[in-house]
Amino acid sequence: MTSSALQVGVLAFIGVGVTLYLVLGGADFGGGMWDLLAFGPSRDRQRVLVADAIGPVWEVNHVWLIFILAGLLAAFPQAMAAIGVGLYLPLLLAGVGIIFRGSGFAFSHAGPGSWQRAWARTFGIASLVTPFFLGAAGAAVATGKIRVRDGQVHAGVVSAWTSPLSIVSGLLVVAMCSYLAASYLIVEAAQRGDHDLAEAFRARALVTAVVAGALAALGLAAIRADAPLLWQGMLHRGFPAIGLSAAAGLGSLVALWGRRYLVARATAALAVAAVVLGFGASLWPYLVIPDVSVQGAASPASTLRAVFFGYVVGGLVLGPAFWLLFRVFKSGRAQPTPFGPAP
Amino acid sequence: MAVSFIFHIFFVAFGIGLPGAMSFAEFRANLTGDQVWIALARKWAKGFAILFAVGAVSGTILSISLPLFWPRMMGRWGALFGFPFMLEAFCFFLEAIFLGIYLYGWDRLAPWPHWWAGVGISASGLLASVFVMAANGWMQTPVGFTLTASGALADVSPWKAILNPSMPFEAVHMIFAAYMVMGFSLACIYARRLLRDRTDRYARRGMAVGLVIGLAFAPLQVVAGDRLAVQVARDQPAKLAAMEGLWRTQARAPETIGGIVVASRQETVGGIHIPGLLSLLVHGHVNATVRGLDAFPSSDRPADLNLVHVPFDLMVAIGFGLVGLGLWTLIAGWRRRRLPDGKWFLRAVMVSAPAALVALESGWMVTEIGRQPWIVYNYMRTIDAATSRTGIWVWLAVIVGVYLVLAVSTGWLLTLLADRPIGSPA
Repeated sequence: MTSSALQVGVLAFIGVGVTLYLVLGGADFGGGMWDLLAFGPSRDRQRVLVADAIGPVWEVNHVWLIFILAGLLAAFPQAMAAIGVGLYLPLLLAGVGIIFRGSGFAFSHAGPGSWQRAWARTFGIASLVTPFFLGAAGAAVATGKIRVRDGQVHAGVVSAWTSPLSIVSGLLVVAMCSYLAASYLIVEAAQRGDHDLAEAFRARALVTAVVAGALAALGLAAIRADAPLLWQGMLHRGFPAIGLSAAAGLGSLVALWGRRYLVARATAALAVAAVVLGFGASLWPYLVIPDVSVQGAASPASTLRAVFFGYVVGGLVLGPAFWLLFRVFKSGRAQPTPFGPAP
Repeated sequence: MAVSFIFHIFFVAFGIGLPGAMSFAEFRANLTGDQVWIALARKWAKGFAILFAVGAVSGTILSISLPLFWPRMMGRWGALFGFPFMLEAFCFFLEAIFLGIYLYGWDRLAPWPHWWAGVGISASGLLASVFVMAANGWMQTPVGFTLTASGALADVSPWKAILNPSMPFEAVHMIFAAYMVMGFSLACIYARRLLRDRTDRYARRGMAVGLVIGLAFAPLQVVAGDRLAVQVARDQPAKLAAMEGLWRTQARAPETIGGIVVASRQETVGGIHIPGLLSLLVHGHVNATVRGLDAFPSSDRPADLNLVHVPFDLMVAIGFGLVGLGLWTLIAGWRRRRLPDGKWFLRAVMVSAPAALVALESGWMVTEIGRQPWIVYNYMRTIDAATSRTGIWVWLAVIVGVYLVLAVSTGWLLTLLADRPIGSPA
């Protein structure tokens, strides 16, 4: 494989990783948000549902980020360096959020009641802010606010990731996560026969779908105003995927309204994948607009080959393992308590 | 960054070691159906779940921190250094999947398939640790590339980078250390219970498993450490000199036990010097020349020599002490055909856990501070790799604070878990 083909190949895998992180891990984040925002008469049942749904898979889901970052580091180290200097603050904040999310979830299932509630709240808040920081940081590479001159990275500590596009993107990721979670939880609730709970989450899903749609539209406006190179990229390469995303998003909303939940979930996942693809296509040939290109940041072909091979083999091993995990636990039966059996 | 790592490595030790103990207990439970084995296996699985969760997040933070604190190292060397991390990430992913299946499948899967999932946890954890040690090993002995006249990287081979000379020795030494810390920690928890109630079968057996694991690895670790030191003497002689507090390059080099390095006088004072022993240990014969610190310009030596020499001696002393504990256990237990349970013995067992942890952390200090001033040995200095951002210190403090909260909370929760009697919920 030629070097540029390898570059595209590795980026494709990273894109798949980002998509899966959003679709699977994002749902976990969303679950945490619904735990935090649980209200109404079914509040406690909402929380139990979230915990049971997240339980088996959350450990797995937050490994995606390492998977993405490690691949980026090995294959496009110069881009990692620019991101590391330019976006350290939102990434550190996301990191702290991940610490508290993970430990919050672990701690909220053992120990005395007040301890559990405090950690559960921590878990919820962390679930809300972490996707925001990740989304804001992700969009920041496209805004031209991170410059690299003579090997030196120049970026405002806060301004690099608080442009209108970054803010809207962060909020959009939050909305996407909560929508994905709500749409899964409808099905989880229905499977345990709790139709009131399913309706509660359906209402939530409808609201977040509309919010996400509005944010997406706002995002397009922000790109046009704030990120001219990205806008150009979109007009030339990214618009089919963005169009697909809009259609899938709308389709998801319609399916949700009509209570066709499987379709709603599938189209939601499709919408997310399409956004990631559209963003990547629009960003090409850059990794950090305007000073870091894919070609310029790429490692030598030998490393790219190794990374590509690593992703292929990893995918072949992890794919079936994932399938096994989901099959055993999402087959619809009621869950035992999280963290295993009572001794 | 070092602080993050100090916390992370504690959880790593359990991440590597505890699934082994857990699988052993479950194996016995499956064979015998004995309630005590079942209870131990389940309790350890619960503890493991918490430790894995916290270890996982601390590892995620380390991964994020690497490019944030060391962007220049990542930018220049990422093509070599990043690949083992990617492979580690895969193993870690696999471990998390097995963990999900294991914890949630206890009452769903048949006993033996369930046990195999536990084995999967151990295997993927061990493989992950090998890859991480490959990454650190590469920093110590960078291979897999050449440099052009203008200093650009050429002939890059990430696979060769993984198979660097330090990797096998570091990996074995770390894995043994993980099992020791885990084993002694378990033994400590149960020794505490036994001190209150000698008849507690559950505690007696829990302590036995922990002790056997810890004590079995203790003598092996002495050998592993010795082999690693020989490799370090060959590939990082300045580090070895710092470890040993050896100033003068000499034949019949002495082994210095204890002592404080006084840099201004270029000597190590106060220790016991055994002539010729160091030459014998690292080169195989007494008359071999061992390079001392004087063979290296002071800018190429670790700045804080006592932060290398003292932890090294501490680690070795603890290591031999734990071997000694093993001998005590063997001798005292042999005659009565059961584990000793005298007051002093149990107290010694309780001390073994923090001791093993101190040894683990000391060892990491030796290797990382001994590596200074290099971040990529002989190729890039730590100061040249660090981020230019000045505000980063604030965030360092934040991360330290966060880890403190985490460590205290985990410790408290695990103590609670350990104190619950067998058969109780949560």
